[in-house]
Amino acid sequence: MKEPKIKFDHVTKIFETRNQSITAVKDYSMEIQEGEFVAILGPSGCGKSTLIRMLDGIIPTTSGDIYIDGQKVNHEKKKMPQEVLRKMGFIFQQPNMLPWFTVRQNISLPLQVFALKGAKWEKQVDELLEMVGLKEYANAYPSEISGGMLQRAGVIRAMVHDPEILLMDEPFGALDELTREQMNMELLDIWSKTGKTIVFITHNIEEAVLLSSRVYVMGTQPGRLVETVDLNLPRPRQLSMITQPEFIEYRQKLERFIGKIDLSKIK
Amino acid sequence: MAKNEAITQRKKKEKKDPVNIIAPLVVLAIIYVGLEIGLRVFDVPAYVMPTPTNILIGTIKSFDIILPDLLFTIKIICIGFCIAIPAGIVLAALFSQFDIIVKAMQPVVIWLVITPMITLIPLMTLWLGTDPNLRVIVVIIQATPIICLNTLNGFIHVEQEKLEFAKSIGASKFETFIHITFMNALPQVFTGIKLGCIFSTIGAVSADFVSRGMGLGDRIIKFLKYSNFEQSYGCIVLIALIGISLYTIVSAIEKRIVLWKK
Amino acid sequence: MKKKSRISSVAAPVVSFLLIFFIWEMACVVNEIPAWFLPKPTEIFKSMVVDFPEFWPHILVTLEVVLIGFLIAIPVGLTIATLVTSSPLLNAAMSPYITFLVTTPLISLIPLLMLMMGYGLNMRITTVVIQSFAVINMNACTGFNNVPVIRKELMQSMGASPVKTFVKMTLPSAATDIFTGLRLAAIFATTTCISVEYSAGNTGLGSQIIKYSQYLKTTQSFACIFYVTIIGLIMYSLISIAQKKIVSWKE
Repeated sequence: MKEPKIKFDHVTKIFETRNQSITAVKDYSMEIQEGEFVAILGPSGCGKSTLIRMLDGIIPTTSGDIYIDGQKVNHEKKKMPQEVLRKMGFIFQQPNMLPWFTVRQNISLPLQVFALKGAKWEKQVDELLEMVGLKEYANAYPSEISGGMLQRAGVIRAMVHDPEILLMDEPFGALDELTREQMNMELLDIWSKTGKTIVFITHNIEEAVLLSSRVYVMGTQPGRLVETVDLNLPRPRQLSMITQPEFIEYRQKLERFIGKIDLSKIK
Repeated sequence: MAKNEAITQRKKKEKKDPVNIIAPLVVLAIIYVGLEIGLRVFDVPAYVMPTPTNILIGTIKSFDIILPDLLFTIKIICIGFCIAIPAGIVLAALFSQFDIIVKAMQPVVIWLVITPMITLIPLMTLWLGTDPNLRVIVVIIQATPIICLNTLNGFIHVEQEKLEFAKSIGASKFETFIHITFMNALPQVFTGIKLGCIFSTIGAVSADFVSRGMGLGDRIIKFLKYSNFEQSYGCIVLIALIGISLYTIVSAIEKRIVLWKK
Repeated sequence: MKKKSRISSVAAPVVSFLLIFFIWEMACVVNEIPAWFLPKPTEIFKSMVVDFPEFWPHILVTLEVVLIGFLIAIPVGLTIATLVTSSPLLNAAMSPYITFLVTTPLISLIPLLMLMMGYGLNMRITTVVIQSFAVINMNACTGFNNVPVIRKELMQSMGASPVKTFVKMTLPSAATDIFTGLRLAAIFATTTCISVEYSAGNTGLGSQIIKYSQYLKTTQSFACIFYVTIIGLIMYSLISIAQKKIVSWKE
């Protein structure tokens, strides 16, 4: 079998506070193949954000290992090396644009940090801006454009250094329903064109089923993997599919898993 | 009300992080020991800086001389400060009633904040005589404008939605001011009061320097004249303690009242 | 409508200043207050112009001390704030002392500093620096500590170096707080400078205020006070303009 793109091997994260230790993620293992679109689904407080932040080197692991392309990437008390980080792009729940930079400067920020210079990369910025329809707003400041546009900018900022993996932390959670559906379709379009590996975090069951090929369901207290569900739905996916019986079946199945999680325990 | 208590308790708990108390104490110990050893090893003369222990001993020995000046300075700062707070807030409240007055008076208040009021000390002797108690006035005019300016800023930046809400439930103008405008501005009011603390102590000490005769500022100079360096440093430490105590008291009150501030 | 409100926001303060000076003038005229007690504003303005050659050297001294002191205080305050906020432990250990430095009227050191360093410019500048860096430091610390976590994560996700993170993210995030500190520091700098000049030597506007008031030349005294205000006003406006130029974005 092929080497998995991303592999979690019994990863645990414990946050130590003054008087207690909280297990955010417990003994989590998963394997994601190159080019897959997987979703991690769970109620708030289940540690899914912690999980994705460990993968991107923002939060260090307590125990267990994370592999990317077969290479161990988490090291005790050490920053993740830049060549590993370059393989990933992180999309936050909020647009997280720096207000003092123009849209274009914001999107070019990863290029500067990763020291990628030259006409090729400039062209990349232009193409991405064009792709999400932000070309005319390239020189606008973040405070001057709408929430949907900002989130699009957030998506292409994560893609500008041509990463192989996109990590998305409830990326469209803060948007209204209509914009959100539209963004999801655009995302599927981007995925089919580029073939990147996508890890998509969400608490929305419908969104998880609509987008991904496999759903990891997480439970709380401690945050852990409860169930893995493979979705055999045809691609390309369309919004109209949400009324089809297979779709509804998967949705109900996931709802049952989520329903089993004792929500009263969530803080 | 019960919920209020819960918040108060949570805030208390947050404050009790031992690191926040232990770490500064460790720093204090390091500074104390470091100075004590450093000053002895390098044989630093007392007029540059006496060792902390000598400052402590000297101050305790002469404490009966210092005490009247200490009490005087505390009195001046506290009375002045206690008048400046309501004065600043009331002025801001009056100004904020009409847009046009805000526009007219805000630059005047900024002008008063920028002007070091201690420039008036020499003239005040002329106007009011040499009674040391008149230094209260220096403290008042030094602290009032900054309190007024911050409060005014708080009063005029009320979210429109909150005012509309007050209108929707038919609140009177007075009720709206107390419950919406004033409460909304409280964080800024406290910022102003904290800055007022700093300005008051500066005002009081400068007044001592200029008018002499009484107060800790005056005592520093008197001690220096007779080369009692330990005692002068002791006075400086006492002034610093007055400043930080006042600030801490205001912060503590703020924490009790402005529970919603993060 | 907008134009109208702009006119009123310029006209209103002009009117209020004129009104204040008019009432002052009238009060002096009607009550026949002698000039040594309280001079008329018109006389003060006249003195500001007529006696200008006499004031000028002292204005220069005060301006020099305030500006140099202030310009040194900025990097000192910012550097210390950067160091202190770089580690949580250091932050916890130092934060009470940062407040302590601000609340201490460091001008109480003036007599001792005079003893060590004499009456010269060095001593004056030192006093201005130590009184004004603390407030820059405190506000910068507040700004650095309040940087949104999500922005730190953005820089971490790219593995940005500490310098890049500081320049591109931390510093701009804290800019508004830093400017608040600068504005307060400017006020502290002028106040301190005057306080030093009261005690030290016979140059600078502070010393002149004392001198003229001792000779009952109250008009000249007031003229000096007004010049002090003008120095403060210039610094305050320069900082405000710099803030508008630099912090041009909306959060």
